Amino acid sequence: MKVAICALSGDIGGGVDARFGRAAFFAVYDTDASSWQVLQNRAGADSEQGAGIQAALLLAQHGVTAMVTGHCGPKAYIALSTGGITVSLTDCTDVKAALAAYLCGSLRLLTAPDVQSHW
Amino acid sequence: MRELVILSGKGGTGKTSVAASLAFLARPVTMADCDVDAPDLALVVRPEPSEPHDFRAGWLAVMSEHICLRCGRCAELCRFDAISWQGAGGGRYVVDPLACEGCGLCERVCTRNAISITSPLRGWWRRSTTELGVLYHAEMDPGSENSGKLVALLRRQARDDTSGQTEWLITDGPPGIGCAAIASVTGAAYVLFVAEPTPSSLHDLRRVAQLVAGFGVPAAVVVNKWDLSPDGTEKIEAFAVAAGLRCAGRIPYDQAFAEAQIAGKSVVGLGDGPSARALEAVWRSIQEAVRSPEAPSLRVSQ
Amino acid sequence: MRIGVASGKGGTGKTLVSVSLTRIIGRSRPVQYLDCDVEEPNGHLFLRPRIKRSTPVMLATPAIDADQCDHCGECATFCRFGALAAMPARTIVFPELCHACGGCALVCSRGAITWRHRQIGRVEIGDAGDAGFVHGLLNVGEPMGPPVVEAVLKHADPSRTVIIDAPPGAACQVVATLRGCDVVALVAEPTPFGLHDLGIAVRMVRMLGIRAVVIINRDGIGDASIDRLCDSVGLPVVGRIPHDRRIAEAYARGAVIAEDMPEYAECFGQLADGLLAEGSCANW
Repeated sequence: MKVAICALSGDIGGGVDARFGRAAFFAVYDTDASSWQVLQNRAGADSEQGAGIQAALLLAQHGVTAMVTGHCGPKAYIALSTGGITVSLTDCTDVKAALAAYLCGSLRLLTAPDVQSHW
Repeated sequence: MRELVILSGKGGTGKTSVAASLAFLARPVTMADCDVDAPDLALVVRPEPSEPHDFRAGWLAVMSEHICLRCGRCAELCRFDAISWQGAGGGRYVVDPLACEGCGLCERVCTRNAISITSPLRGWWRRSTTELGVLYHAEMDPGSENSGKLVALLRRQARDDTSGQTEWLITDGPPGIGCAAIASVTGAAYVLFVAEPTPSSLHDLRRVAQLVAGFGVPAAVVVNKWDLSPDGTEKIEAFAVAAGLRCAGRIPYDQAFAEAQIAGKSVVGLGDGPSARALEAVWRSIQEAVRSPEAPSLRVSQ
Repeated sequence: MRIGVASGKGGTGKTLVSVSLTRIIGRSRPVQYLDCDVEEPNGHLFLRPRIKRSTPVMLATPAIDADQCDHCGECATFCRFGALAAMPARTIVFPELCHACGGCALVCSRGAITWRHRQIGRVEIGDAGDAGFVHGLLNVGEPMGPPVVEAVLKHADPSRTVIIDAPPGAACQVVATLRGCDVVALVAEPTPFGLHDLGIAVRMVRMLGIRAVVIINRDGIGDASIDRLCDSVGLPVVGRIPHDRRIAEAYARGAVIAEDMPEYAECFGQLADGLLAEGSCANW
């Protein structure tokens, strides 16, 4: 499976972006291939509105099935769940630590959005 | 750099005067005037002249009259009645830029490609120098929308501007309690709400308190013109306490607010007086809150 | 006659002026008050109307027929507002982002898009004494104010003098409110901030081609710069409400100044006469 982590930079050693829709990058880890790939969230970060929807679409197109972030608003949550992508919340500040926490099952899996729109 | 965002909901509570005074006390400082409906901060911090940058946002249909066959399909299908026939027999189809929402339906149905969708000029923004530090400010054209995008642009520029190495970025926040105000709270270190003792101000405070709680940003309330209604002031402060917001002080109803504007200064910059002293106390309270290891926890439910 | 009351920003005394005008003009002729500040209507706090009925404001939004849709993504590509997303196995609609332009249904080759109506706000109709009263309320979190403004304006009664309380600012909701007014009263404070904000409002009414006049609120608090601006661009000043701390106090209590402070009845009477005279000029 592929796990996406919201990232502040294009470096997998960098920090976690607590936002989803307007995160600059997604660090995507493929558990089958044990490899990383970095996606730039251009459509989401630059869109005037509906950033989370565009970002969800990008992840779905890359076959991601799990996403780790700080917070997730209602529209992004609907788009992600429609695309078959689960949402887990972390307060880890670095990308690799967030992945480790996700893989050992210690993160909270969202069943509803945790913040309002526009956060 | 820490960002203090100043909000007020409804206009006229004295948000900009408070922002200018806190900027004066925090100098050297970086400032962002995100009140793009009424960008008045520059009037009291007096920037040096600077070059404007274009601000473009949204979309607008533009008709090429010489290509148009006058079939009228665009006008018939436009849900916003933005395309109309002007000038009888020898006339033409004209786009009303105030009614057009830029959806692109007309462009799509035009068989001659006579219509194109452009990103129109909606205003300007500038980076200016003042005696207090750098100021980012902007102005939207009347009738424009998309102020949220302009607010985001100003804040991004101001936050990335480390030229002054200032401790504080003071943001005069967007008006209202809509999208732009909501967006301005993301990533701020602290929010100050400038209230007045009226029911509508309390209403707006409730909404803003909910928002900042959702974002986990600590916040304080200052009541301006408090002595117009001591009862109303107590209601605001009681709500603030219950919601886990800090009460940062009270400012009296004071002629100094108008005098400072006329002098082109902030209330504190104008000189000593009851309002200036109240504003100094507000600034001390905010600094104390930000520096204390235990920031107040927020208890407003969503 | 339709009289709009507007200002470049909030807090200059728009509602104070509109509710006082409603009461003063209502003494001599039939009057109606419309509150188009649909995000935060507050005229009712002063006029205390009896609401008789409420009608929903609906906006059409697309609905996807899952049996017909093949998730080709044409509709989502067309929609500039991002209101549709074609996920690999399902296409979804985000109603709050939709402007109801109809483009998605037009581009869908499978006829999978139909329309359903969704409530975005409501209009409440009633009366406040002899005055007709209508206000619009946009649901919290809904971004599309103009349809609610238009729904309020549909209730304008041509047999009455209509006072329209506009939203603050100069954005598209204000434009939607002021179109069709015979005259717009711009309320401004005589301070540098007030002058700057009035300048924005003047540009807006000029753009709309509507006759405008100025009412100075808190006259005496600042300087004479508003008078100088009005002189130089030919804007008549039809009234001045003095700077008086008791007005601010009474307003904070929810009082209608023209009614509850008899010493100001004449001031508002003159203001109303000036405004009505300007409004009838527009019809010549």
